[in-house]
Amino acid sequence: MRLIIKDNYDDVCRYTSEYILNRINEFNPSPERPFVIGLPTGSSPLGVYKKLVHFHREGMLSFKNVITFNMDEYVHLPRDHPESYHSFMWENLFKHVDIPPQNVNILDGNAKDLERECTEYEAKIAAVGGIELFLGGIGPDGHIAFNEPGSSLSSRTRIKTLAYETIIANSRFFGGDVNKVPKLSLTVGVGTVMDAREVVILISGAGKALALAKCIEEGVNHMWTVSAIQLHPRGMIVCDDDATLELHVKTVKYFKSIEKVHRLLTTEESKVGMDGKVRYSATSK
Amino acid sequence: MLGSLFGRKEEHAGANNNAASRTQVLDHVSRSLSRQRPQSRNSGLLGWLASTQSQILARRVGRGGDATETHQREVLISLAFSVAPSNMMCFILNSLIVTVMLQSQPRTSSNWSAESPPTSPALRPISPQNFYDSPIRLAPATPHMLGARADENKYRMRLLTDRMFSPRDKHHIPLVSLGPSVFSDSSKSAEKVIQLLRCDVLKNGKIVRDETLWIQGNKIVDGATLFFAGVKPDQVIDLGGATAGQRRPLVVPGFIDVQINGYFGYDFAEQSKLEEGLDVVAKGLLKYGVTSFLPTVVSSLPQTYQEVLPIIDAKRGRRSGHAEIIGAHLEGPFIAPCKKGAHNIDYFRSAPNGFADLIECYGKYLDPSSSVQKDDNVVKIITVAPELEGMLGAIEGIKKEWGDKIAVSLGHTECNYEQAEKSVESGVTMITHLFNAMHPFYHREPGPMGVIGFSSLPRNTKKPFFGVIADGVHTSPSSIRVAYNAYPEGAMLVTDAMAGAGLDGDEFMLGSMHVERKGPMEVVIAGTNTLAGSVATMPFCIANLVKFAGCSLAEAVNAATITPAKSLGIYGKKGSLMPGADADFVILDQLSDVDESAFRVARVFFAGEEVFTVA
Repeated sequence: MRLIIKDNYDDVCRYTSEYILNRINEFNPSPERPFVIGLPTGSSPLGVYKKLVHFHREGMLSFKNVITFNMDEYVHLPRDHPESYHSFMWENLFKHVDIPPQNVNILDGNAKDLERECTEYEAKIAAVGGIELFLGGIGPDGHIAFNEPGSSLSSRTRIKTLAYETIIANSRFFGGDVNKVPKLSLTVGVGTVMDAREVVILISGAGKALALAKCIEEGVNHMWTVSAIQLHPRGMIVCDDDATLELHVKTVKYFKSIEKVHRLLTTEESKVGMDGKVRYSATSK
Repeated sequence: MLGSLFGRKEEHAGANNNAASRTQVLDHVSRSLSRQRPQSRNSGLLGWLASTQSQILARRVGRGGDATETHQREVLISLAFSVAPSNMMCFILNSLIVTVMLQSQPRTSSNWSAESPPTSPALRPISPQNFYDSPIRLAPATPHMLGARADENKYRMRLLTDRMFSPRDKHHIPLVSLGPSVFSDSSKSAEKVIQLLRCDVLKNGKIVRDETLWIQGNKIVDGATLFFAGVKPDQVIDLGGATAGQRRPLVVPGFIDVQINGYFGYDFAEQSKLEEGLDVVAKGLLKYGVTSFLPTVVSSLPQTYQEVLPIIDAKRGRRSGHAEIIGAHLEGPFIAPCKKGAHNIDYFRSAPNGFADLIECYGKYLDPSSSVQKDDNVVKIITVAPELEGMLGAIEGIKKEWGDKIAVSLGHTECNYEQAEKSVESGVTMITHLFNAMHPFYHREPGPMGVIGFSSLPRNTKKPFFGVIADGVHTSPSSIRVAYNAYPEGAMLVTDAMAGAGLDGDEFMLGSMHVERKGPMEVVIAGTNTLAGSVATMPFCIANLVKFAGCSLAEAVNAATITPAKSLGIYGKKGSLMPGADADFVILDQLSDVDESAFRVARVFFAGEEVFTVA
């Protein structure tokens, strides 16, 4: 697992968006071989989406052959409700870029048969060949997507009740009224996220500091579900200084010291590509 | 022996309606049969068996059991294996009967919906793609989602992933290899989808930054609904980002002008060239961003109205490449002689017989018993002076017979404040060119202006909308500032343009009157100082309102779009960029951070097609 420590939220977003940009462009997606990416919602990825839109407008990034899978969606919230995750993704990303509508996959919280919706979602992921990169955030209780503490670390896409802490955290989007927040959601499981070939988690803010510490310094534990990233062959966490407040000084110093190597991997002059292959010239794949 | 065995089991089955016991019975039956040697079986026994089995199954079916399908099939299979070939016919017949009874089970709602999808013919291109259309909808709308999904269900037929993963779909389509070619058929249907990117849009009167606008056919639609239904735009217009020192282009609804007496040399009170004039004016107005207007007929004789109104009526409606004529504005002849402005005083009259006089003048367009439809009248606004004899009764008559369909406007009047207030209570909802041709504002006698100034009128009457001619000539800029800030939601921009507008000459005819140009934007009746209408254009008025009233550009544009639409009762269809509105909009560019009033009409769209692009 790589831990990239940046100074502030803006740097975190810049690093992550540049990483995704380079990843997609190096992958060079085509209609037969699209780039499949998993996307989160919430306040953490907003900066990343803004920068991705900016890259698209500059002509550096095209979403024509990118297939997206979202992590979660509320159940029984109308799709055009301003707080539904369909609206979130539309407003913040899909509206501005050239992604074809058939490449967008978001769980439908208003499906007649929710369980079938979940199994079909897994089938869709398998049909496109699995997810290449899964971007995610973390909750204050260490959850990924809506996999609240206690979720099985091998879980798949399913219906999930929301923890009270999550409902309180989300009530700020529903006018502060806890009763308006949906209590059920469809979410990808921890197993689904860890099945992706790469996982990138965004962690910023002092509120997530304890979760980050529990997830990377202690063992794999279902009470802090992001800790499953310790078992992933290609996990990466991008965090800012505030989020390292609960880490050991030794951990922070260690990861910062090897960041120089990390930085080299994302530049054009890099000898090693994103996929770990050695390049003998800057432009050859 | 066999009979008694089965008899006992039958009683058990009859007495005990438990499904488990019935299962046991059928198991016993099948096991007993398999133990039988072929010789001891005869058709009679088997026939009796078959009927027993079917009775039991029928009872189970009748009780609506739906979890026993597999079990019943097992039983049938086990019975089949125990039957000698010679008796296969009986058995096949029996199983056929059972199968039919199974089929008659009521379908539970968890399986599929009985409704068929509502698809409009225009949205279903006749093409091989229809082959994949499932006739059964997957997720019928429930009441609380009807509003949200009503539109989207129309487009569900195009949602490819839905079809791929529907349980009815047996055609395995590879997901990844589908490119844009699958959706190229969407251009075959009449509804072309256009997407505008990277614009600032005026929505509900406020600027929304970095928005996209989706247009389908000739209406504005909700982009998210179309996107999540799988529709790709046929044309994407990228308005580009903000350049240094300039703001992003602003998309605004098309302007609505409720008072135009003529333009480009044509006068709307002159019947001889009226048809040609309406066409020329409708085409020419588009370059000013005016996408809807009301031709105004000045005071005339009754027979003029009989000639002119049918021509205007015929030109109503949306025509490609022409601004839409919403209806006619009848300014006069029931107006005050001392405030005639540029009208011909010979045609003025009062209404001693009240509403009947109006009918006599305007003919069938005001007659409630005529063939003119209530909600399809070409007359939209009538300007009257309420202090004339019998006018209050006439106004009430109009409101009683025509309701909101005809707006009564106060203009060319010398009424004082009390009379103005009474007329608003009687049904006046607009004021024609405030300050011009009316009682002036005096601090102890405010005249019609006082109606704007009131915080709310007595008896819950609504304050009227008021038009202002913001060309800097008809009204002093400070008067406009006072009036606008007193009641911003009611301020409408009108041009009151006359035939000389849009032309470069110095002398024109207005009705039967000679007019001459006195200044760049000023025309007067020849030989006098009386203003004879204006030669202003709508963008000029909007820029002036920003300068005079100190409002923002968005608010000034609202005065040319939202407020006129509300005064005519067509807000939502016109004057708006929300989903469902007509796709008449204008793109303003060359906006400046420094000068709020600077803008240029860059592109004009009418009914979804681009009708004007600045060179």
